[in-house]
Amino acid sequence: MSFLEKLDRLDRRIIFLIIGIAVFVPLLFRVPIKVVQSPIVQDIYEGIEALPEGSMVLLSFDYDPSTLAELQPMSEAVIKHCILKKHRMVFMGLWPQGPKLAQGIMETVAPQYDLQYGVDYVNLGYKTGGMVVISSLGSAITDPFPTDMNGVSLRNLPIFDNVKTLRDFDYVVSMSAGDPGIKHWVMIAKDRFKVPVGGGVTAVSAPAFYAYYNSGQLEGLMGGLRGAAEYETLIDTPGTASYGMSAQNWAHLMIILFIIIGNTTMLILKRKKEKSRVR
Amino acid sequence: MFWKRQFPIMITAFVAVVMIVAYFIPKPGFAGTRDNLQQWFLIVVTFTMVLGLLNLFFVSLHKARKGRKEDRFYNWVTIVALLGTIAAGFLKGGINSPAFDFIFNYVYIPLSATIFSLLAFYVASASFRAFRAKSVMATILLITAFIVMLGRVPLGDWVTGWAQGTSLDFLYLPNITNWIMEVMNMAGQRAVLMGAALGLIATGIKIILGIERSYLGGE
Amino acid sequence: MTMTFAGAIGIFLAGVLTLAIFSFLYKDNPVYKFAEHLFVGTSAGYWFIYNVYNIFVPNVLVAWREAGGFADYFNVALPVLLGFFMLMRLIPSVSWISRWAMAFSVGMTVGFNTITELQTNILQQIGATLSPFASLHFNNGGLVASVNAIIILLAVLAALVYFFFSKEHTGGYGHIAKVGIWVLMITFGASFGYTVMARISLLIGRVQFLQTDWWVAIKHIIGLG
Repeated sequence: MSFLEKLDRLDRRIIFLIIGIAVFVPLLFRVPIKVVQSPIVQDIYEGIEALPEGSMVLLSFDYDPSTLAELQPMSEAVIKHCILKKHRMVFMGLWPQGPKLAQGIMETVAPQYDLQYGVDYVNLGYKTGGMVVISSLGSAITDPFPTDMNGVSLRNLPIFDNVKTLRDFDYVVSMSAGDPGIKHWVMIAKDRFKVPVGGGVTAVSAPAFYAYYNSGQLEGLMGGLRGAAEYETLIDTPGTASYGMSAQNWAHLMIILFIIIGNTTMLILKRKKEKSRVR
Repeated sequence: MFWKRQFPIMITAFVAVVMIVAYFIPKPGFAGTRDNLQQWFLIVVTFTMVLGLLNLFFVSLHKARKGRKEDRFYNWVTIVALLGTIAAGFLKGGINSPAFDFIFNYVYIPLSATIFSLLAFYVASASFRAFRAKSVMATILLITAFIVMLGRVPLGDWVTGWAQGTSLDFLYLPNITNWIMEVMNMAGQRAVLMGAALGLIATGIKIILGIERSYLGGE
Repeated sequence: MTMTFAGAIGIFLAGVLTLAIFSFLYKDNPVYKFAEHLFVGTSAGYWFIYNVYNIFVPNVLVAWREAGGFADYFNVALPVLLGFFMLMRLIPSVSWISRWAMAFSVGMTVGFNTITELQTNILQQIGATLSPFASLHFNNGGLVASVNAIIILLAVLAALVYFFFSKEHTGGYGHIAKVGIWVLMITFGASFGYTVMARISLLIGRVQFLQTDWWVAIKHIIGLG
């Protein structure tokens, strides 16, 4: 068997090992990388930046731990930005795991910035029903959420004193891993109730949302770890996304090399076969 | 027969029409009905989740008792994990109880995140074996993918940074990537979006009219 | 934040489970299978508990307790009844009753989708494709935007032509459809690039966990941290 034939039948575990090393080694050096801004991320940053102090921001955690690596750094970055701008935050989730992930961030961040639950932020928890829940929020927040995630009536939470429906929010941020998610926030919150919507999605689904961004239905969008790294750069707080960029670099390079090697091997072996057939 | 077939179709048509009409006539009568229906939906869908859970429980139980011998143990693992998590949730503190938190943070999160991270290895393997430029179309796809993959990591900036701000700015990879994403990709996605929406609306109308009734199952 | 011993044990366990899943890369094995089934069980249990505490308690039990009249009671009782009908699916002899609940859910979804899809994904998208033509100008400032607007219009039309199968893709129409395929190939190429990015990111997340949190927890447990 020639070298090329061996290469063509390479054990997939060797490929696994190479990609594993391409990710593992760069991360050992823990070097945060500042990335070039793209307009779509810049726009969501500027949208939140432009809100006056004390604005109400609804943050919907529409994802589960399977996409934690991509979406959690975005959530952390946006939350930090909101805190720095002194916005009030209401968390919720169209996925059951979302509110718990939001709680995880706030348990660390709230004491750091001396935030008071019920005044500066609140966690409403989860409701099933996707688009219908959002529409219901448009009628009255208490329709789908009579209580917060811990069973406290919204009447007893001062943050809701002047906030009764979805229209009373100044901005909606959806961190979305699929359905239900940011698409439904665009459909209902933006298109029906005219509340600005921005957010973050997994890189897999990001390309689909450029149509909403172009039409102005979506204020801005972070796509995948790269989007999170851009936001971290914008707020000048490097986090896991910025540190992860070095590994992303090398892994992409490896994937491109794999495709080139795979295609080159295929072409050469095909030519060889054709030649031997002619002979 | 009426209660099994015609009645459900009537429920669907009635509810769908009310929701559509309420959208156009936001008067208290219609809006109130819409709000009530929305509340009901929330609760009904929750039961669907319970149905799924019960189904998982009974299927696992059946497999644990009568399934393939070598798989029985694993089905018991599923059942014990399911009941254990539920029990932890009913301890003092509920969803904030230390036991429930422990399971979520140290069992559920790592398992969920790692299972999906395996895909990185398979995408690498597929890139070596399956992603072949066998036609012009496949080549266009791969070249676009190359540009986007390089343009979205710092490497693209490092390699073509010299072009930034010069008359050759259009060669700067992050700029090319932005253009692909915001113009070509956007146009394609918009067409897909419009096509899918037309399909959904057509299916919706067929459901309202009772032409499409596969959601009711057999019989 | 300082790490407690229980926290360190938890993170250590999380790391072991992470490696258990990764063991599948070598080959399928009992440790992986165990971890996989553990995931299914905990995931379903988590869903159930959150549905209980975040929906059944506030939207059913509390709503019933605080109901002030017939309408309030009715608005809780009826959906619960429909919900129980849904569960009848598990009993073959009366499973047809679940169709009523299913019919209600489908009706709601259809009612919502028909209008919102039309508004969000058709009218707004057509508007966004055409509206730049109201202010086309080919001077220095607007040249790029105008050219892009023309490209977008042509590309959207070509891709839509490709999707229209009621007319055979031959002649001039076929050529436009061919351009539509190119547009879609570029779109799929972009999606492919982003998919690679997404998959790698997920792995980065796990490796970061092992290199930082897990390593710190191990040092804490053996008394080095």
